[in-house]
Parts: sequence; structure tokens; C-alpha cells
Amino acid sequence: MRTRRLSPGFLFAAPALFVLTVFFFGPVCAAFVMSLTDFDIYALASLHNLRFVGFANYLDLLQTPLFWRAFANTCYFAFVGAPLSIAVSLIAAMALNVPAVRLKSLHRTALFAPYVASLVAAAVVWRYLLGSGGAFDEILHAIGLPAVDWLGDPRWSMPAIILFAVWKNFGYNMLILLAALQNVPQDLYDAARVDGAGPWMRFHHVTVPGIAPSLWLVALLTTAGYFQIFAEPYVMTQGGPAQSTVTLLYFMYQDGFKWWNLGHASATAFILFAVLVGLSLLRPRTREGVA
Amino acid sequence: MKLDRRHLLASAAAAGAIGLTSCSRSSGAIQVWAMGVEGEALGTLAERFMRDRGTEVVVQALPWSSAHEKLLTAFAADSLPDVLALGNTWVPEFVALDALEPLEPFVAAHRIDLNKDFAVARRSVTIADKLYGLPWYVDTRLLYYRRDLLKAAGFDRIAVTRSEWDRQLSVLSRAGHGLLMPINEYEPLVAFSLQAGAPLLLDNGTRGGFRQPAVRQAFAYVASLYDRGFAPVVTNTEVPDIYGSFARGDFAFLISGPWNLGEFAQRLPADLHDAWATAPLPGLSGAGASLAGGVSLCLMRASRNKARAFAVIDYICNARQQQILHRTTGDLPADQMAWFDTGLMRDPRSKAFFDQLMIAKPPPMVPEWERIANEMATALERIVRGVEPLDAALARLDAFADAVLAKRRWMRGRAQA
Repeated sequence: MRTRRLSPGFLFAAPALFVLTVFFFGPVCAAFVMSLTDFDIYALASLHNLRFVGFANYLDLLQTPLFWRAFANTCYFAFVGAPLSIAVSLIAAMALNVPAVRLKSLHRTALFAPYVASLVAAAVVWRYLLGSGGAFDEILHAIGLPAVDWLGDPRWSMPAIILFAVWKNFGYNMLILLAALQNVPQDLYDAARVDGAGPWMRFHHVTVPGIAPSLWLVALLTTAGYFQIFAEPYVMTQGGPAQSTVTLLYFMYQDGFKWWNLGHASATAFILFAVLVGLSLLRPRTREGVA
Repeated sequence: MKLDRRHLLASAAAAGAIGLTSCSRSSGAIQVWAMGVEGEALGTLAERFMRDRGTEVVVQALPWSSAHEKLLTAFAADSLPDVLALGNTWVPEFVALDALEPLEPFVAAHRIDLNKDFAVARRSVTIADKLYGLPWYVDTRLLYYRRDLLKAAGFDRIAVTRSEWDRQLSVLSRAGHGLLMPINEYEPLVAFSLQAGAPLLLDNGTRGGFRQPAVRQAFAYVASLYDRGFAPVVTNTEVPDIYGSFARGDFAFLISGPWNLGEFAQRLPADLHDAWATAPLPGLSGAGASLAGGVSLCLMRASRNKARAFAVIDYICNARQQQILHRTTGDLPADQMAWFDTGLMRDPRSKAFFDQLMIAKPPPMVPEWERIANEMATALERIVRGVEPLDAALARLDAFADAVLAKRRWMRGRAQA
């Protein structure tokens, strides 16, 4: 009698697959089903009050002005915050990569520290820094600029949150980029220098192609992560002022846990999910040196 | 079926709330949850109760921020306490969830005289002729004003009717002392709308009634307060220090709640201590209605110690304990007798709250109300900022309310079928 042989790989993967199924695939499928229903407090009281509504939640969302507002705010945060964050990471990584810099590990640890700090605690501290009479006002005052009502003015609330997020997150990307920079062969720099390339030419034609795969990875992860912004506005502004910091996840949270429209909120989650899947499908056009 | 849903939700959505109470559920101690400083004040009260009656009471003080979410997740996870101090406007929601126990049998057993409480507080927690909470403290909005500025402008007493108030506002706002009514707060708008005498929601709270002539007129009146320049079009974040502004005379009128009695006494400069006063909101003819709020103590249906839990509620709500609560937190007692014993009736400033509470009305008692009220403020802002004319904004508001209440309509239709 022949028994079909199960690959040992399955056995090794089984615990992880089991955990993924129970805690990831299962809930995702359940959330999708929920997004097709009108699950609300009445359904919470009794499932008798639950209706299957097809894609009505999705259609309704597309006609909700606040949803589009949240979508625009999220894009603002992601498409301004992520490039800024990567630029800061790259600058910090390049600074750390200069051979003349002393006490490298100390600097590296110091710059990485914000990433390790608890997000909520850091946000609370930043709320004080950004508040009236806080450190930011002092700095503006010292250089002769008028004070800005960072978290109270709809025009400045998002820049303030971006500033915070950049400070909080750049350390992680900095480490990845630093590792990539250290892998760029010194010969290439020397050769470029012999050919008469200045610092900018060396950056553009040696550094960037050399770290392009890492840069692309960092860009993707950071943008995807920034699309999921929630805790920053939740702790610092509660979506205000004038809904200027309501992001998709904050909108979903309010919809789901404040008004308890879980069906509606699940639909929001799936729209965000679709955006992120679309984002991760982006690939760089093949160029020299790009994998 | 019920079990399935609870388990599903407990794992899917509400994992965070489970840990809170489940551990001490079976020990026989009565679990009490209350929000804010009142929750903290309950701690000492519970100790007195334990000493007097020998029942163990565990008080959990929740912060007001995101309290609503915590309570709903606790319900989903089946981990609500025995006794819950619930904002009156949240009671309809918890009744819809079937989470609250009607109190009539307990009230009869304890021989509690409900008539000693403000009628409006009792009415706010009575749904379909059943009482779901014992009023603990009450709250309403009325007019705070600068008596000295009024006098300087030649007015000896505060307006009682809207037409009198319009005259005072026009004179004082021209002198730079207008009305502060932040455009993103819905309470003043709701208060003036309740004065219309027409219900704000129609068909048993299943449709918006904002296009009714009387309600339309209320919206038009509130919008005119901005349009005529009586009140600046500002949001509350644009006036970070209302006490400083009030002291400087940036505005002479403010619509606010009882917590500012204590704040004003404490924060205004000493030379203004006699310069401010309170009065009921001006109405169409005579003093007008305002919206009633407050907090009541509710007995959870899932409690396994209902009789003992109600004894705790009875203790917390008796006149003497309400007096003590008033002294520690400044909250206005729901029990009218407590007003006479605390000196609240001797102070004209708090006496005005008594008068206002006698004519206050509860907002519509549907779970969706808070959401609709938020949208009312948005509609008003659109009118005042000229985004949309009055009738278009009210039509949009009715459409919003109808959409939010669609589920209620469907449920009622099914119940009747």
C-alpha cells in the first residue's frame, strides 16, 4: 500500500500556518463578510437584526464626504511624510557612514532611540512641545518668527503630525540604509573620483544605484506604514481641528467603535486594504543597477 | 445563537476589555463603573457603604475619553459590571442593546419616592414606560452673563425673552461684548431647537423633523445670532482661554453648563466676583427650554446580584450622598431636596440652574441621537458660512437623519408586520 508522502516542509510550516489561519486569514474573511452586512448596535443586541446588504456599504462610503476627506488627509500624510522620512533617514545614514565620524555606535543608538520609544508616550510629550509656550514656539520666537498654533490650526495640524512621525520613524530606515551604504564598494567611489566626479555626481551615479533595492524596499514599507496612521492623530488631535487630521484608520475607528457601525467600518478597512495591495504591486521600471 | 455571537465578538473585536472585570465577577463583590471625577468620588463612598452594610463594593473609575467605546466593547465581551453610571443620553443605546434591567420592582421594594427627583431627569431614562436608571446628578445649559457690562449699557436685568435678548445683544455686541457660542458645539443649537415645541425626530424617532416650520425657525434664529454679528463665527479651539476672554469682556454672554459655576468663581479675577450671573435661556415668550443632561445609575441585566447591586444604587442616590457628591465635585444633585440642604437654592447663580432644569427637555431618546446632533452643528456651520442656504441645509440634515435612522425604521416595520 502506498501512502502519499507529506513533505516535511509542511510539518515545519504547520504551526505558523495554523496561527496565521486562526489569527489572520480567519478574521480577514470574517471582516469581509461583515463588510457586506449592516452590523451595528442592533445586531450586537441580537443577530436577528442583521441584514446582508451586498456592496451597499462600499457605495455609501464613496458618497460620504468625510471618507474622502480622510482619504485625502491620509494621502497628504503618506506622500509628504514618507519621502521626508526617507530623506531624513538617508541623510542620517550617510552622515554615519562618513569614516571620520567618531563614536559611531553611540550616534547610531541615539538616532535610533525615538523608534524604540513608546508611540503614545512620545506623542503625549510632543503635544506639550507643540502646545502654546512649548519648545517649538520658543525656537520660532528665538529666530524671530511668529508662534504657530500647531495642533489648533487646521493648516498646521497635519504638518505637525508629519514632523512628529518623521522624528519617530526615521531611525529604523536609517539602519537599513546604513547597512546598504556599507555594501557599496569603495572602489566605485574611487573610480568615480578618478574620473572627476564631484560629490553630487558620486551620490547620483554611485550611491543611489548601489542602494536602490534597499531604497525601494524602504520606500514601499514606509509608504504602506504611513497609510495606516492612527495613533498620532488619536493621541494628539482627536482628528481635529476641523477634521484636518481625520485619517482613514481614524475614520474607521470612529465609525466602528464610536458609532458601532462595524459593517460600514469593515468596508473602510477593505478599501484601505485594496489601496495597500495596489501600492505593493508597484515595481520600479528596470534600470541599470536595479534588481 | 447568543453564545456564538458573544464568543465571536469577544475574540474579534473586544479582546481588550475582557481582562478588566472577569476575574472578580464570581466573588460576590458588587462591581461599579463610573466615569471621571465622580468615579473617583465614588471610591470613598463605596468604603462607607462597605463599613455600614458589609457588602463588598469594587469601584472602577473610567476616564471620560473613549468611555463610550469601552462600555460597548465591555458589553460585546460580556464583562459589564453590576452597576454602571451612565450618561442619560447613552441610556437609549444600552436599552437597545437590552443591557439594562428595568428598575420598577426594585424601586417599589425600596420604597423610593421618584417624585423627589427632577421630572426631566426621570423622563430622560424612561423608555417605553420603563425606568432604566436612578438619576444621580443633573446637567443643563444656560446663560452666563456679565452683569456689569449689561448695567453699563443701560439694562437693569437680564433678558427673559428672545426679543429682549436681541436688543441687549445688539447694543452690547456693538460695544464689543457679544455672545460666545462656538460653531462646532451642538448643545446651544439643540437647546434652541427644543424650544420650538415640535419633536426634532418624527415617527417614533425614525425620521428627521428639521424642516418643520418651528424647528426651521429655531435654526434660522441661531444662524441670525451669527449673521447679525452678535456672536463671532469661531470654533471652541479658537478661544483657548474662555475665562480670560470673559474677564476682558471679549464677550458678555456664554451658554454653558454647571461645571463653570466652580470654574468662574475660581478663575475670574477678584474684582469680577460679583460681576457675573446666570439666567435661564431666553425663550419665545418667557424663559425658554434647554436640553437636559446628567448621569443615572443603571442596573445591568447580566448582573447576578441584582438585589444587592440595587441596594448600592439606592445608597449612592440618596439625598445625603448626593449632597456629599456635590461638595466634592460640584455636581448638581438630581434629588431636589438635596438642593435645599446644600445652599444651592440660596445662591442665585445655582438657583438659575434649578429654574432651567424645571423647564428643560431631554433630547430625542434614540441611540443615534449624538450622531445626528453632531450633524446639526455641521448643518448650522454650512448655513452660517454661506456654503448652503437654510432650506437646502435642513433638507440635507433630514436626509442624513433618515439615512442614520433607516435601521430603526426597518426594525419598527418588522415589529409591526
